Amino acid sequence: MKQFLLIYLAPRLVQYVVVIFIGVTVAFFAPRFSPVDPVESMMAKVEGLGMTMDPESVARMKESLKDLYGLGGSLPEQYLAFWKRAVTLDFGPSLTSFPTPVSALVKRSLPWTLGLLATALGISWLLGSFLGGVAGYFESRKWSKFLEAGAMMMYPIPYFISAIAMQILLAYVFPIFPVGGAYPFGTLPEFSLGFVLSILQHAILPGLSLVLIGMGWWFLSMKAMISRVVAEDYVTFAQAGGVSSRKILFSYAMRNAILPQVTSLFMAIGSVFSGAIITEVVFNYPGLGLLLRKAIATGDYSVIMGVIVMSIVAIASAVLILDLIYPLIDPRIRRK
Amino acid sequence: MDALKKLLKHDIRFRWAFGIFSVIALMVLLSFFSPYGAREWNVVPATQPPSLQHPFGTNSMGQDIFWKLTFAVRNSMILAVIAASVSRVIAIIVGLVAGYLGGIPDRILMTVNDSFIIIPILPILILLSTILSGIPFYYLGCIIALFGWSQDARLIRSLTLSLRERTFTHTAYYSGMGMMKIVLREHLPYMVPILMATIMSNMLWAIGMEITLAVIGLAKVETPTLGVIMYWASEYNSMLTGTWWWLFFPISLSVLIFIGLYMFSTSLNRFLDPRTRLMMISERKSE
Amino acid sequence: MSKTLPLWLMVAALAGCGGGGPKEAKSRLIAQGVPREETFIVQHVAGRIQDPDNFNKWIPSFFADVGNVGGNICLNDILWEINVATGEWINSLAAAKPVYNEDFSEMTVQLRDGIYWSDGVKFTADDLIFTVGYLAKHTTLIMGTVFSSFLDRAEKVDELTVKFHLKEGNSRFHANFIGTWGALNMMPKHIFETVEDPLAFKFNPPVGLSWYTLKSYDPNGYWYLWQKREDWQRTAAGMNYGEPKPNFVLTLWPGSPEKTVIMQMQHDLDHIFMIPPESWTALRKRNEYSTAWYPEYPWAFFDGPGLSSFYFNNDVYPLDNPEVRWALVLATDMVEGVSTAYDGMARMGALHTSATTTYQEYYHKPLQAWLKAFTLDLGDSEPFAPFEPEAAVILAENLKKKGHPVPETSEEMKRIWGSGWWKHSPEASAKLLTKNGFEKRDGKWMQPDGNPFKVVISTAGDIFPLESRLALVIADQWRRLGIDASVQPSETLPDHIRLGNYQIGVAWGSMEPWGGIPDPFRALQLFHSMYYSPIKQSSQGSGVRFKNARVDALIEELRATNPFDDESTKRIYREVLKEMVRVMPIMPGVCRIELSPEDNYYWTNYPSAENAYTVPIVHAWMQSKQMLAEIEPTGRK
Repeated sequence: MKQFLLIYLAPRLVQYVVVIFIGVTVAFFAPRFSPVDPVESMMAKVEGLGMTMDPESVARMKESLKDLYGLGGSLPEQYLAFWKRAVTLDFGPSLTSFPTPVSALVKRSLPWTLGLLATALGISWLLGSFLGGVAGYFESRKWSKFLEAGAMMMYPIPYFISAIAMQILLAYVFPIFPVGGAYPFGTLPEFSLGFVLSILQHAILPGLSLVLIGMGWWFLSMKAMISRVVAEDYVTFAQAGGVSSRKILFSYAMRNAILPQVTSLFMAIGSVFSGAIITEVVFNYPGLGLLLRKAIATGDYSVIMGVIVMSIVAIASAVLILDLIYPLIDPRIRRK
Repeated sequence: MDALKKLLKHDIRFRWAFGIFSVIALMVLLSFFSPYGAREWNVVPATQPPSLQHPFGTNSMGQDIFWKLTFAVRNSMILAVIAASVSRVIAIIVGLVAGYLGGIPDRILMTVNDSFIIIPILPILILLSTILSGIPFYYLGCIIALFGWSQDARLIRSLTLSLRERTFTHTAYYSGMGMMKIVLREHLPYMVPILMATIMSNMLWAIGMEITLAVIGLAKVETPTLGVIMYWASEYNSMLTGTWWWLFFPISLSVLIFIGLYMFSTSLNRFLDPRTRLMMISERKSE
Repeated sequence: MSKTLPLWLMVAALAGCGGGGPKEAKSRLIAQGVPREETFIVQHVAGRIQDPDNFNKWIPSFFADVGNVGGNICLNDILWEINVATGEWINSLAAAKPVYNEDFSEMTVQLRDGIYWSDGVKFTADDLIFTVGYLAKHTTLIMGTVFSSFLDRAEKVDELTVKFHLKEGNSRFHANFIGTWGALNMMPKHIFETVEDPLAFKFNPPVGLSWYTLKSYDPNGYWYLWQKREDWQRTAAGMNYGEPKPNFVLTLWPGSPEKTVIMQMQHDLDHIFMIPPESWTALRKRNEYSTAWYPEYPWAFFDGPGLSSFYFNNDVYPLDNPEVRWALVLATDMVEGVSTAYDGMARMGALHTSATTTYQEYYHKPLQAWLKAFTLDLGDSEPFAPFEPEAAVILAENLKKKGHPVPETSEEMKRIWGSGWWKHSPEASAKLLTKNGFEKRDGKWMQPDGNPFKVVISTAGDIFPLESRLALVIADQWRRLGIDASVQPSETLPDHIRLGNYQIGVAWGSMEPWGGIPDPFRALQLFHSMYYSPIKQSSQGSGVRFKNARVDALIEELRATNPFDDESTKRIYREVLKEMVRVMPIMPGVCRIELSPEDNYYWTNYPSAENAYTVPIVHAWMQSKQMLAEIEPTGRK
């Protein structure tokens, strides 16, 4: 057990810390190279209001804003303070939605992104692996080759293209689904079947565009693995011994191939998250992607950093949790 | 050359990829003979559907979409090649160092490496390209490259590990060859084909990233790339105004490029897989 | 986590069971028991509101949101408004214009009687005095510093009269209370006097002085629903304009331009803020009920007081030379620019001010003779007169060739497209450059220091995409003449301009006076050298690094002039405009095009060129609220 902790757990915890360290450091330093000063940004907006101010009161207002935004002190001091905030997940107030804390904004958006991400990832993984497995077992059939060709066409397409293609096809050319948003204007969220259905209806297109792309990859990798497993001796023996194809496929072949699929699922979370973000921008879905997009357009430092750091933390944590659960599925690791 | 013939003969995917690439190469070549400049406005009648004169139609800015696309394909390919080669350099260095040194440096490098796999790259790329907004596309290629090496560094590391244990490495080592020399003379030739395959898939990824960033308006909107053309199409609401050709051709062309690159990379992989080679040899015998 | 997580789990479960989505329900906009035909639906452009539950608009940052999502027409009110379309001064919460004493150190405001807050409390002088006092005390709030630095004290003369004692004479103190797109909103004293920490106070539900109150809002920030007050007679808006017709106002952010247009095609969106000309063509073909400002070409509303212009950085070599700036102006073909970029849907302005109909009368027309006589020294014997009074006519000819219907008379053409612009003269431009030591080699201009003449035009990117178009066309024109010009969109352009981190920027901010009334002070003061700051230091002024002794003197003269003495104001400002033409710190461009389609399916009688009672900018401009009283239901259900 001790050995397990040392060999299996320790590196994963270190990994977790390093991911977060890199993420936080990038998030801290990148905006500092930006020519956009949040205080200046705010002053520009105040001016846009049509206010008359003499230079002196402008200078005073700037000081007040600087204090409010926590931009005082030297760079190392700010960096340390930033770490403190990252650890407590408190990124202070949003600059453009002042004084609402960034964490509140992220909390409002995160469930939408996670919902989209988890559903899309789950469906594409299950469906892709299943179809890939079946297609790998019956490799020589025509439909198997046809499916593979389809997956090969889909897999390399970036999420953005698939999102926009889905939108054009199923929202403009054939207006079956809504163009964007999460539910109709004017309806208040409530626990009713009608509302849930309308959420579902709005989520189908963004979800579908994520699933189609994701499925391609899971299909291809599963199929490759299964066709390798099928060639192995024990499967041949089983076939010779009259074990049904179904049993061979699901009880032996799939079971062996599913473990590497799980591992690559962990690794894919980050990139699918990126896909979800761009999909949200295309469909104006109220998740983190839209939040980030607006924060960037308005130069809202705190939100940008909050979104990036929190999504890195969320994804690193998801990977860690899955890593920790993994030994439960795969007994070999426990024994090692 | 022999390998090319073999590939063309035995692998249908390679034939497809080769066909697609001939088209792309032709477009890149044609861009040098374009009758219109890459940044010129109002040179042809605006908003014309595809016709003999303008095979892909014209856009609302008075530009011929076909000729515009020749520039776009050229720029996107240049960007992809830059991104792929810069990230290859990083991947090779990280992979080789980790693989040969082993031990603690290996662990450190791989931990960093895996972090780059896990971290969601798009938000960071969006942030960086906003900060450096309007940078020329080749710089954008370099920035994309900074985040596109981690998967392949892992591949190179595992390759290095297996090469390191081969007999010829030991022989060379005991005959007094320096490690550096062994790597460059003995091992690199083994890696080059695999690197080729990863270059293809990395180019594919880089083009996709460029399109994503450009369409949300983070590229230099005057330099045509595949993403920039789509950006303008959506800026002029082409979906709404019925100028379908403005989006259809760039999207189809990019999908074609993606599929071509992917097929290239998989067929190279297959070709390099010893089992496939055996199959090819046996096929030839049976002919 | 919020309420949505369990919802998501249900969604996932349903999706797993293969539950398909229903067709979009027909009655989707009649949620919450609100009938569609009683609702006026307006697009707002503030994007998705991140903290929709915060209505405290005195916090710096938030004002950009609540006023722009319907607050300015439904909830908030201010002392005075200016109707840009008619040039009318409107007393809103105040009963009359402000009265100053001799040396402008006191300003007296008479408030309207019989106005009540939406929670039934009477609005009195106490609220006004409390508001300015509270802000002066909390300088982190909007305008806090203004009142703490200018205001000595506010004295209550009687229940409805307030006398402001200023620290020093200021003839434009009332500017803080005039609104077109926002100004100082009153605070309800009875609510805020108990608020300890104004930054933490959300003011939810909000209490306002205008004729609607908040009924509900989207917790995810896409829409706000406003309901007509039963006591709408007890508001300034009700007294000025009568009963507002819609019982409900729904403001929403459709998300994408495509969705915006589709919504109006389906009669789900009565008022759109701004769409590109191409989309308008698509919209009016598919919705016969959609109308715009003009009943036919050129459709768009041209009377927005902003003038999209090319801001030269006057401190950057070689643009620090007025003659080089002039060379760029002469290299520009604005007629072609307007025709190509906007299909003719923009009015040109040659002067450094608004090009609205009223401003044309105040300034452009009276200056015609001077403009025609104005000449430049190109370095050869002949003086060159750069003004082209017939620019509108040339443009109309150009548009006629494109198949657009244009008016018959040159008078009418000028009314639409403006009273002239500058000549497009590559020869004169080249002469000016040569005169200043530039040299043309292999078709490319070289600066006197030997480097290529390279200019980068920064535009505001996605926020105002239409402005980028003009920049792109003009950069192309300059390139054809051998000037290496390129365009760079940047969403943070206002920041770059403030810090001087740009060469040429396309913006309108510092050239947007209130419009309507002749007083240009709000925009003009920003050109005083008091606001000058070197590059890299943030500028509170126009940002063009402008310093001019004559303009300074004129601004000071204006400051000492009675703000309601229109004749003196016009005289002084005309002198300023002449000086601006001489030194050309900014290349004036076109009025910002506002193509704001309205759907006449449920509502009709929108403001238009024939019935220009107000500006059609409903999402944010306070005076647009008049529209709510003027529109009529069509009776369709």
